[in-house]
Amino acid sequence: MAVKKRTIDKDLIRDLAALLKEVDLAEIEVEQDDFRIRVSRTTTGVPAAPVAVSSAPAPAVSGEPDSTAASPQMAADLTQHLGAVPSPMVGTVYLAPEPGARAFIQIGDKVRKGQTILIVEAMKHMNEVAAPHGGTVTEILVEDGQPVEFGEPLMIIE
Amino acid sequence: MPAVRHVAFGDVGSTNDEALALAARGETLPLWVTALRQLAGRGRQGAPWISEAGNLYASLLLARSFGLPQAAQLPLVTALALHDALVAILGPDAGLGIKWPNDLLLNRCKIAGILAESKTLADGRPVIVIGCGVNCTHHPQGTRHPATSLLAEGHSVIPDELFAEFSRHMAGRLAVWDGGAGFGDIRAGWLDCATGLGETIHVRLPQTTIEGVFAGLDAAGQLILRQATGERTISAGELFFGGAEAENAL
Repeated sequence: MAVKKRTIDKDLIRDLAALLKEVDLAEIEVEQDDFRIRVSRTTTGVPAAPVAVSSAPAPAVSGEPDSTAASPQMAADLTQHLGAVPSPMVGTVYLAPEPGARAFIQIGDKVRKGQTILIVEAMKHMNEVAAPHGGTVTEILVEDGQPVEFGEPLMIIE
Repeated sequence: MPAVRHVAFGDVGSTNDEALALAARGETLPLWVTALRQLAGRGRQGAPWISEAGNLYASLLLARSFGLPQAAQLPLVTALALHDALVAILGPDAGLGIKWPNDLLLNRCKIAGILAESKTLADGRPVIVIGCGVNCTHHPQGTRHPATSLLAEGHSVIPDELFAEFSRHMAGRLAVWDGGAGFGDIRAGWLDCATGLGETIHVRLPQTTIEGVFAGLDAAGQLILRQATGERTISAGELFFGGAEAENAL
């Protein structure tokens, strides 16, 4: 069987990623001729890596993740960052004390050690996560309501 | 657990906040705080909690000598202890159950809620406070999950009487739990009391609602939801019985 080499249609992936956000879907799959692509983004539940499925003989391609969410790959690198704040437990992240309230911190805020920066909930146990060190918040790597794993970097404080 | 100090109040903002304030002032831990009435009772995510006199409002504050993953098991431990206490008073066939993770049900309607909060005191001591509200006499109307009270279901229970049973069973269940080492036994006991196991349920997550079969609890106490695409675990969300379309049809 001849395998036709084809280039990855990045514009298609971008369009699908934009469409996902626009209609607030978690996943979209498109099939054209012998080519099938699925793009997903992490919204809820277990962290879903961006996946792409292609039917043979199309090559495997990677979808583009939701640009506002950190991909697991990127997160893995950030665990090595000196300013990273790891999640102390598996759970769901809240950036504000309650829905609609002002977030505990914003990018650019100066925080002191011990200041509450977010909440991680598991089984109706709300854990206030305190800044492990003082500094300036340069990145927030999680979205409100997102599930997180133990040790997953939540934000960068430098 | 050795004899635990108990401070009883009339009106408070919330028993969780009062317990934390006492701890901050150097009160010996562990500590039970009860109140006749709460003026600012709250549930998950800042939701208000009905707090009229006649119901039980109780919070247990513990020094946190265990990890946060273990702390997240305490709402399940507490639900089981409260279930024990209610069975002791109402009998084994009263129609009691637990809705994941820690709501107490009577005839499938909610009669009690539990909210645990881990905090660090100003002096750096980590603590966890577990607050419980039990609808002895009053219950809210028009909630997303139907609520009831012990009285409405034909049981006249005095809050003090319930607290005596609850605090005794809580001490027993905490000893079994043993900082997390005995969570396997707690988990098994919890599953025996669970409502909806093996049934179709739906869970409201922060951004969406998902449906599946309630297949059990994982080793950490997370809900296992079985879907056509496989199983997934859920750490936080609001569980409803039946499929999601049942709710949409309301």
